Amino acid sequence: MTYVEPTTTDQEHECLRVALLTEGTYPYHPGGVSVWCDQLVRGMAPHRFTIYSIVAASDLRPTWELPENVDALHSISLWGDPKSKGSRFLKRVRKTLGHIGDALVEDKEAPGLFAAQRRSASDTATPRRLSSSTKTRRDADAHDAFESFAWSIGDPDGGSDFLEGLHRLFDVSRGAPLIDSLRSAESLEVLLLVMRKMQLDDRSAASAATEVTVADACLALDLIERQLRPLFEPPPVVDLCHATSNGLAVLPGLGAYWTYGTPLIISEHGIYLRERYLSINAFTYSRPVRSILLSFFKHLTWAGYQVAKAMAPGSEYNVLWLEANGCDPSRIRPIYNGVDAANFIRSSSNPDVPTLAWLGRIDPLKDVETLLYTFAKVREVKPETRLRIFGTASKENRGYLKICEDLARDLNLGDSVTFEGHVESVLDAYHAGDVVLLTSISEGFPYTLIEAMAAGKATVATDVGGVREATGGAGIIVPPRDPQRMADACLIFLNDIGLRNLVGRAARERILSRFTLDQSLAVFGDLYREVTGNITSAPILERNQVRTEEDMLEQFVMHLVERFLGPTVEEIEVRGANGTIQQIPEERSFA
Amino acid sequence: MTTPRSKKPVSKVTSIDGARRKASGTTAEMLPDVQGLLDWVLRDPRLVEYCASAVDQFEVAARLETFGLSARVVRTSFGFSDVFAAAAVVFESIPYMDVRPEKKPGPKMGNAQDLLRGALYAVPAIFVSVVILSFHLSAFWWLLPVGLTVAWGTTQAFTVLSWSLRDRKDHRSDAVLAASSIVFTAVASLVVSLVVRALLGGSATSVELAVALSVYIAASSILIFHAAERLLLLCLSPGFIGSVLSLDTISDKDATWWILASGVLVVSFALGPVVSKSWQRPTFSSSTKRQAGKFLLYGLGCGLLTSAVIGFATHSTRSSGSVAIAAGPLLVTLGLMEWQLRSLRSRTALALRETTDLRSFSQKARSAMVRSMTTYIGVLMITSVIATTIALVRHETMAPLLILTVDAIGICFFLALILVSAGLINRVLLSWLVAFGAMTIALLSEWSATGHIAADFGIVAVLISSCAAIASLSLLSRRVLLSPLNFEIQS
Repeated sequence: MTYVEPTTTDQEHECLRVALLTEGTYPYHPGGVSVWCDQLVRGMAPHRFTIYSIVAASDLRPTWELPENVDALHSISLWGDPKSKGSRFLKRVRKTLGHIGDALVEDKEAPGLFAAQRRSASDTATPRRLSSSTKTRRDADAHDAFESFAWSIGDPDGGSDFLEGLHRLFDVSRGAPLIDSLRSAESLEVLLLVMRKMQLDDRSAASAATEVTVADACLALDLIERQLRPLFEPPPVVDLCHATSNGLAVLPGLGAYWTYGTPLIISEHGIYLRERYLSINAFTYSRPVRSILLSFFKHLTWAGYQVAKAMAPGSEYNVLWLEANGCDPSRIRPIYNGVDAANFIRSSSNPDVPTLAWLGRIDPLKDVETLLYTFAKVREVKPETRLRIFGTASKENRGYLKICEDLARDLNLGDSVTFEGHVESVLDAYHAGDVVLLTSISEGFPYTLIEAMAAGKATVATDVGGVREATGGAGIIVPPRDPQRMADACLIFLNDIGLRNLVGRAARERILSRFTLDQSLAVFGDLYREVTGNITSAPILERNQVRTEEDMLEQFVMHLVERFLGPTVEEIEVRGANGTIQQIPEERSFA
Repeated sequence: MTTPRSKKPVSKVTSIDGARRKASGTTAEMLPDVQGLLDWVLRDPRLVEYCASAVDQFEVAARLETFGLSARVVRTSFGFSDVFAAAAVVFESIPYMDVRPEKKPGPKMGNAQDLLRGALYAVPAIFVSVVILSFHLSAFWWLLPVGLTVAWGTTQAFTVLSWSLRDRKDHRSDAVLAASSIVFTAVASLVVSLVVRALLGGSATSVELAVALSVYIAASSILIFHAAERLLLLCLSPGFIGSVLSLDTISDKDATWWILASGVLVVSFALGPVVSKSWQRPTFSSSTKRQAGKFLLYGLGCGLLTSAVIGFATHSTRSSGSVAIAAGPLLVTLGLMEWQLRSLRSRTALALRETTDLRSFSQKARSAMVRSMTTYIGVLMITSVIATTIALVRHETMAPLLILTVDAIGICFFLALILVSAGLINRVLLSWLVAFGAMTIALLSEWSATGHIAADFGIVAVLISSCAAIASLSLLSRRVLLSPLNFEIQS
């Protein structure tokens, strides 16, 4: 964990000290969640914030300028050195000299003779073999705690034991890492047994026959130990912990809750568990590793739901996932993202040639491939159309960017599609297109969409997460991974400037009336005060408060689109039990 | 890779009673349309693959959503209360399919190329001999130890930093790192040479040669890091040709120019990124810097142990013949060291994938370890016997002791290399401490007993220290290397 600035405390009345817990986002990475974090922190002044940012590597530089009400930034590295304090050096030397046989600390990668050999240079965790004679009491306690913890991961109904196991590990660690204790042969042996049991309990005899290899167990132990590192950091000393997602970001909050009783609230933009299920797939890990990792994350998110005083998903749709994974519905308070309307103005001009714009991270969850297929289909009808893709790929997703670039080449899109990378002004990016697209397969309440709407753009988006709640009819929604439908929708807008402008205006009106930053911040302010007990009865956003049954705007826009397009029922073909094709009303019919 | 294992083909899936029973959360208006749902899933082979390999219904639910089966569709089209109820049915009904990740190739076994790489490491030793002979610099024995030790340390440290950048895919800092590596090595060796010259005497040419040698080593390590071994070989060919010609056709001084040309080529290519890449100041975490510091110490330890032999041997025999013969077995087996290290890593990686319990893994790892060690030590012994025979024929009386000492150093380096490649550098540093402690004690005891330190005894002291290092490395690595956690995990 790196320490950037000294912490100061603010004892002023009604000025809360808040720990904002992030994972892989603010302030090191761009993206919607980081935008939200920045808006939240700036907008919640005079509350004072300390940022706890869980990151992969330890040598990142913040890409966001921290607001003045941020007292300190702590980065917790999963793949870096967990502790770098000089005072530990002498302890290690003493320990090393005291236990020559076994006292090894923090060995890392090895370039070897002229770099022929190498372990990951960014990795610092040290596997360590302890003999029973030199085990410390702490090691033994850690091992006991890990053993029960590991068995709870393997138990589908072991959520309570998992939470208890986390608590025990936290108690044993006392703010110092347990790397050496957890990376032991004993832990490996336990995990091997747990993984074997999980395979035997698996649904399929064929799956049960999948052997768990030592490599599987090593990999699982490696990954689980890293995921647990945020738990072993000294817990934040604050009035409130606010995790920007469930999962790892919650771990420092759990420590604060157990140590000081600090209340925890969790915002879920995408659904953490759903995204783990999508990313940890059969093509990336073997089944035994995948089973235990996904079980770990399932239990971890369940644990977060049990401890959090309030859950604030970014959309009504995502509530389903929270409830399905054991979240108490009474604690769920959906809070929509908001945009600063002053920053998003309508453009008075249109691009010279018909242009589609897309803005976001180049990431498999954003399904850029469908975007390219869509564009290819649009060009079959309107060859002069351009596609401008704004956004960068993280280090992990550079391979995906390459796949997309190759696909663009294979589809013979030539210069008509451009990967434009980072863009300084998102407004310019939205205005670069006649239509703004969102092709994601998983979303919370996407900024790309509401910002584009605020900029008065007609949008075509996939029906995921809170997209339907955002557009409310002021835009076209199509099923995910369906290039044909998306292309049809794009062509409708490209062919009709009047409709495009009409929908764009309606979209902007919708954002200004419902999804502004001020509205969002006000709800968070109330939530902060309620969970910390600073006010007694401020009404917090009720479920469905934002959504009204009679949505006049939506009806108005639907009516207009109907007028222009005729039949307005979108059909998804599904074959019913009687073998007939059922017509499923969706948002629009453009097939 | 997809390997269907179920006897029931996925395409023949029908709704089953169990699945219907699972569809508990259904709407009051309509019964769940299980068959319709399954048909919908079966339309897309990708979705089938995801669902058939899912670990639980949550995974199926996530996949269904991403393929367009939103809560609304699942309710209005198929009569399920939500996507989770539908997912439970799909999870129960779709037969299991064994989808496995594409196997990443493990570390390759060592091969004859490693022997060639070893030769690349050894070639400069020939060059140095030619250059020293051409300038008649045999008196300034510290030239080689200084150049070697400084460069060994700095190249190890810079290699760690380079790996760190490569892991981050930061190629824009290559230029700065390459230039810094060479400049830092040059400055460090210049400073050390000047200090040693002030203490022990020597010519300005010796200082220049020590700096040149260290710069060459730093530059060649940059090329090897970038896997430009063929380029390095090409650069070294003029020097090699010159050295061969110097045996008969051309003068030593002419040969030196050829060697210098090789050195200039190597340095020029190593500095290639300086002109071809954009400049960016690299940043490193404190842990990476600390790790680089440890590797600096590791390299310095290797260099000092080698330098001690060179120093004492030069003073003991006053003949470069003994030193050259003694160094032969180690230089010849450098490539074998690479070969066996890679083979060990490859065999243990295979054992990790194949074994299902820790005991079996330990047995296989032990067997791989014994095989690599036996092969290396066996070949080292054979070459040593040949070298000893040559020495005895030439009446080089000190050579057998020197060969024994150099062999001990070779074994010591091989063990250290295995430990370092397993991520256990702290143990190697501890062993270096033990080795130099043993050497110091031996030399002090000799000095206190006789009032001076004979060069012959110095060689014995190095032998003692090498044996102490071997014992320490063996003790520290005895159980650790059999633990699967010490081998590279592909994550």
